[in-house]
Amino acid sequence: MWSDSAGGGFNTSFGGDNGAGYGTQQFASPGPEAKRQNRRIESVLPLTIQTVLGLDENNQEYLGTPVNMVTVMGLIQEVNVTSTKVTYTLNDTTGTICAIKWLDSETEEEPLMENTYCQVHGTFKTHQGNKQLLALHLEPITDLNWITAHMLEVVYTALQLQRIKTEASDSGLGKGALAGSSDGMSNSMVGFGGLAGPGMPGGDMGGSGSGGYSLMGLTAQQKMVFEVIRSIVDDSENTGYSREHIKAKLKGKVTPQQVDNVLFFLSSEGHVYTTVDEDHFRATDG
Amino acid sequence: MVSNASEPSMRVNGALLPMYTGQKVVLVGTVAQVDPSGSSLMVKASDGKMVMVTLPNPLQGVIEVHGVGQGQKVMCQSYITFPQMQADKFDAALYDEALKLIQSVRDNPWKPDM
Repeated sequence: MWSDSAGGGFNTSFGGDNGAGYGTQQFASPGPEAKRQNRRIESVLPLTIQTVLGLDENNQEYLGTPVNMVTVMGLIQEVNVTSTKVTYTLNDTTGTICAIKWLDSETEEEPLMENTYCQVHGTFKTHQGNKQLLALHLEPITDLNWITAHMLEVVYTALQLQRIKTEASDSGLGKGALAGSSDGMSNSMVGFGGLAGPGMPGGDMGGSGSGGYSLMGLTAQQKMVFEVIRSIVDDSENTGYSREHIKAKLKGKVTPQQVDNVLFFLSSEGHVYTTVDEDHFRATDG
Repeated sequence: MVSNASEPSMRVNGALLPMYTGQKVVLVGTVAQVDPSGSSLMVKASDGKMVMVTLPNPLQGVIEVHGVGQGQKVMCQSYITFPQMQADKFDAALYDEALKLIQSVRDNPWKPDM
């Protein structure tokens, strides 16, 4: 869903054995001037520790994408437990970094042991000149296949970001380039969701905003109904189209019953909303 | 790693060992033979008797060896086992492809910066 609601969040579902990936959601504010500041990209980037150490503390960027949350997987070499936090020294064959997990007074958790693999999701910060990870979630790995998965995700992320970077600079932010990479993004989100943070330097979802609204995921019928609602003209009172009007417009293409079902679906998904009464609809235009 | 380290244990040899069934013992000897399964070994006790020792973390299943390469051999410095993982659950073919990928793909993050 490409909407410009500001509630950033990431769907984290961890399960070492059931193979559930970690989904990410990207919220971008479309519009003609989607500058970096307006965008709240909250993606979790799988990186190697070497890459994390190479991040510049003032301008945290990786291949043109602002870095917020990262995930690394490494071997715990040292565990240092204090009353307020646990400091793990992680090594993933490319480098070593400290990951700090602050302890709540409520949660009684046992720190992980040395010489075990673990996966850390967290943010990158610099403390007194040392680069560290602030661990938000730390979990031991019991299945080596996760390491395979992480290896692949890191490479995939790097290559995908590379591609977007060169596409954006080559084609000059054409809608085609963005659409192409958007499709790539949505595929990756469906796949294992390691990344959803394309660098969109000034890119927008179509010049006027309405043209670029993504209709992915809607059936043909839903798209037709949606288009009817969206293409309203002369709606000075902002009442939108009535249900009967929509049915009349789609007579022969969509049955009235189906129109009702579609309207119900669209309004529960948030694509349309009701205005003066339950039978008048307007589109929530992206 | 010993959970009840505070409790005292008795030093024994092969002959005295049966007297302390269920109790903590300390056995010193030389390694006579390592069982192929990796879960036990034969130790020659100080009185010459052979004692079978079973290991808590058997050397079996999926293992990750860290060490120094020496031609066709690896001089191991440390190793990690995944005891909760059955050997056949590990997708070796996929891992093999993945590591070939990280070796070959140009400019990927797994390559050390020179």
